[in-house]
Amino acid sequence: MNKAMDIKNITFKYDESVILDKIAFSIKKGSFITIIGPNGSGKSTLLKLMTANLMPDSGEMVLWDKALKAYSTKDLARNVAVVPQESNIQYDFTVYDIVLMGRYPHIKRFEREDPEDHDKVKIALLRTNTWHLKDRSINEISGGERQRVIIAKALAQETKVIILDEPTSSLDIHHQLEILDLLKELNEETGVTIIMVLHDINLAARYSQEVVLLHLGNLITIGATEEVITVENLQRAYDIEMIVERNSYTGCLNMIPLSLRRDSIKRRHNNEEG
Amino acid sequence: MNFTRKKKLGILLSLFLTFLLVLVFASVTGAANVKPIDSIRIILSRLPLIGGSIDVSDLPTSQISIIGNIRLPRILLAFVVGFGLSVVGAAMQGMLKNPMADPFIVGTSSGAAFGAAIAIVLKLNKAVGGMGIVSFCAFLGALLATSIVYSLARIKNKVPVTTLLLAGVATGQFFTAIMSFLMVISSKDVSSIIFWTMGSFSARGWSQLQLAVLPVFIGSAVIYLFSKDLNVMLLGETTAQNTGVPVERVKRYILITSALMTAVVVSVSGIIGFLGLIIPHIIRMLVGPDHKILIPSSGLLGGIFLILADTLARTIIAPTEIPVGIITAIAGGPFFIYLLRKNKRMI
Repeated sequence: MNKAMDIKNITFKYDESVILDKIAFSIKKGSFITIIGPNGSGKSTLLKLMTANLMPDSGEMVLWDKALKAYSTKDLARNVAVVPQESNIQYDFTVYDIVLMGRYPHIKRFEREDPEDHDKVKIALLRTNTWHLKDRSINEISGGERQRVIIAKALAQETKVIILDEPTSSLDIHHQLEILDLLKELNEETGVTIIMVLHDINLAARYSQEVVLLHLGNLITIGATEEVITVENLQRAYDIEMIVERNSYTGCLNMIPLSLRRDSIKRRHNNEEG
Repeated sequence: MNFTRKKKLGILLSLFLTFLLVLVFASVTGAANVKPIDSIRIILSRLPLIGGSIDVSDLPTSQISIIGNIRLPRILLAFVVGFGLSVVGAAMQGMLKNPMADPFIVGTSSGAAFGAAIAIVLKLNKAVGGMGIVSFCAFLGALLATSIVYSLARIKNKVPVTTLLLAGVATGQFFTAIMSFLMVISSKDVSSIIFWTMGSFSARGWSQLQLAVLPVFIGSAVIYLFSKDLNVMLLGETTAQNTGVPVERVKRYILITSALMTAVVVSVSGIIGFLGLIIPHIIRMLVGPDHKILIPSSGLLGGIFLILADTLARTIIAPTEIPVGIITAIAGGPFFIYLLRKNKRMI
């Protein structure tokens, strides 16, 4: 079982417009993989298909060695945990209550949480450095803290795969690094497979082993980060002038956007006139 | 954790003790004067197991009859109805993630009123096997309306919350319109229809209590079993699903259970509004959003509140009784406005 997930010729349509067109790739067990692409490239849709929140029109998703749709809701939650972009919780649950909810798929209907569940919640809170917040209301902590709590909930769910949809999009740069460092550590220490959508190409280049590049519902390329983050690939997706260089401090590839491409400006003019 | 569990048990226990106090208070309030201690003895003598060992032969039979046959069943019925409406209200608000939801949001009340109006217009004011035909028609009407709403809102095996709310409003208006039409063509029945729709425990007794008690408590137990699911569903349906909650199945079970409970309750008491809306909000302010404590506490407080409201309804301008729905609405209306204003501030 070297593959965590196998995406086999997935097509997804919304009414008649094709959002994802015959996407196929596989994700290695224990990898840290990032999905990037411009707005409307279908990356969020792809993520929703991976978490079974949407069903593909054709093709099949395979998790471990079983079709994704063959998992029951509870069974899937024991295998995949999801961290959404932003968690807007209007109810006054404590941080502890929220993380304890991550134990839901492991508890039978007529049972209550046992000491082992509470131990696992404690470990998850300590691991994400949120133990001190446990009695606070989820509403009164900061955005960065809240995202760490949601990751703690995912850890309490004890899954081998964690899927995250732009987990840092509403955070400042300090908290962005904090979340991504945490994910990297978890990936290296526990071998959990991390699948993530990111908007920021440079953060993706810096943290991921592998990158999936999408454009208008098509897969441009997938591979090791160094091979995907090239001017040629990125230009096909983003349509801008750019420089890709190696940053001497981080040792990672870094993309510097320069300007919109000439022909894309011209094209826009034509559209406006027409 | 242990501390909060103790605290929760404490809240339940104090609510239960309040219920006992209110029970005795309500049983001695009214035209006939009975001493509290005598009333307690009569009530105890009615209990199934220890009842036989309590001797009430020294009390006048009129007192025994007033407490045992008139006030006690009526008080207990008010408790059961208040309990059921509040539990369903709490479940609906949690399931729909909508603070304005109540037991009648899926068209139950208009359906029941429609059923009762038909029975009243057709002069079916008889009782068959302990249940009036009017009540039975109300029960059928409630179920009919709820199943129409449910099938309208259902899209490919899913019941989206907004569609459910809209279908509830539309179906409710439709049944209300038919009821109004019936009132216009049969104007001499208007007052009995209106009285029925405002809810009352006047002349209700042991037979109505027997009908309602099991459905309400079994239904509440079923809903309680889903409290963990309801908690996770407060994080949003997608998150709940990703945490392992079979969201659509849970919604279906809760909707069906709630509809049956509400239909039974409405058929014995008429439509008692606002209770199922305000009680869960009050409890949520006191104990937080955890359904494990929210559901039983809402039930207890709802029962207590309705006993008090009914006591007021039968004594405030005695010997005339006013419909208890008026009392709950008078208390509930201002609270509803307060809630609206509070929500507006949050936005």
